Amino acid sequence: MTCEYEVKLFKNNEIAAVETSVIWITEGKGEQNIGVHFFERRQQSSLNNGAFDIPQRLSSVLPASPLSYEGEILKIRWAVRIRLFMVNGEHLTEDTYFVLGNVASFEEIRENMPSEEKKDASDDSEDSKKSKAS
Amino acid sequence: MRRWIVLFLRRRPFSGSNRRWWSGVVEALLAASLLLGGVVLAVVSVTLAVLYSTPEGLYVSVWFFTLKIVLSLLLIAIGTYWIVRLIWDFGVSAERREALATRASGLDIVKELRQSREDLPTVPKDRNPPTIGQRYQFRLVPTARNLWGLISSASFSVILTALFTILTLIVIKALQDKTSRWEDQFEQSIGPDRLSHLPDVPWIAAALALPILFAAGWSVYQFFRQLLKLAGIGPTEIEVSNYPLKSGETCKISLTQKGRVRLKLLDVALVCQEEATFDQGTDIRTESRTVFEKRLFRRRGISLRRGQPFETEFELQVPENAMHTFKSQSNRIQWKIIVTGQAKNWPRLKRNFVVSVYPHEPLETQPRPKSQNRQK
Repeated sequence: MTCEYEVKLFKNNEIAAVETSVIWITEGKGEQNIGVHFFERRQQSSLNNGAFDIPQRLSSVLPASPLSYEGEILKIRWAVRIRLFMVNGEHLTEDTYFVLGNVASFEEIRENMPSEEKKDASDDSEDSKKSKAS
Repeated sequence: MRRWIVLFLRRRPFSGSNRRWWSGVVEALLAASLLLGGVVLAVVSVTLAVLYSTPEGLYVSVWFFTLKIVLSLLLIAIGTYWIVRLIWDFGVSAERREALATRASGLDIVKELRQSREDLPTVPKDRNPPTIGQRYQFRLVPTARNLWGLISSASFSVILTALFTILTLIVIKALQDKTSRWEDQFEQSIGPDRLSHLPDVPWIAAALALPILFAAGWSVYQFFRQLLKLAGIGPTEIEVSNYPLKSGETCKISLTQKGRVRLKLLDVALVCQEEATFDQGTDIRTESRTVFEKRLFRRRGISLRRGQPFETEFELQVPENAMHTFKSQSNRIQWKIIVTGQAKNWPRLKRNFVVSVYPHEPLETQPRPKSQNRQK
């Protein structure tokens, strides 16, 4: 994956450090977990004058997992996170999400299932109702 | 006699090639009876000693009392040992034992599986890697059965039976004393004086004995039920043609169910579950939700006979573009093959086989719509 980002600063704003990372985040009912795949921190000293006049490039080979996922009580999202630390102590974070892989939601999978299997699934639910009733 | 002791310690008396279908049931009943019998004998001996002994001496000779205590402890020890052996032999399947051995021997096939997991972050390693199969290459290892039900019901039955025995003995002793006093008083005077001694009867103990009897009976029933569940229906074996599974791929499955019961229904399903762990107040809770279920096999009316297990083959296809197995600190996506069965007058059979599903290659990366981006 390769991406570019631009930083537009107002006058009198001075950057103390920039952190760029590629992360995956879990969202949903459980506690949020974050996995950091790529991380880079550039201090003020390593930033040239006019470093942000041109787009900055970030490149990383993504892993094979975890893939982006939209579940019922769990979602997995990938993002490029740029965090700017200003000299005055403030910091600014920008997350840009992207999709890794081509995972379908189970709702889509169920919709695309052959009609026979759908019938099986309905039989299952009827059986479970019967067993509960009995 | 020596042969029986050696047989008991090395193997179980009813195990072996001639093992019949009812032997597991008899073993479970005998083991549980020994344990409970030992507990009752110990409690009765101690309670009688407390109630009937005087400062001058025990109500029976010391050697007889010691003999009863030793006998009861022996019964408890044998019963407990036997139950532990049963649990080990039935609760921990042959596949799992084999898996432990496979892990120790470090076969190449398992090593390969382990190495490939390192390339896939967040795809957890198998807790019980598959072993070498006979029909197909991989034999899946079932998830260890939950023994807490058995342990808790055993503990409850022992405690409640002991409590009931103590209360009963207290009431019997009080009634014996009362009867003798009543007889004395009856000779002197007949009338309201009899009622004045009623508070001496341990009414609270008598009132508690009945509900405790019911509770003890229920817990003993549950204990036997759990034991029979372990000892009755034989092991389930599943072998697959390729492993780990990948989304969109098809593999062949061989199912073998052993035992000697008539199953009303045998079902096999591929299931995907999401699990989320979160804090709720001072508690840590885990919610599990089945997000996908696909039936792989169903058959009604299967007769399992000794030496003639039920065997069948069918196919499994992990849905195209389905999510892979995933595990992070508080979240999990788990795929399972679940075998369920129902036999008349037997507890429900349920065996889980956790399977690893890998992501399908090649990967694609797409930017998300800008509206979903977030600024802090």
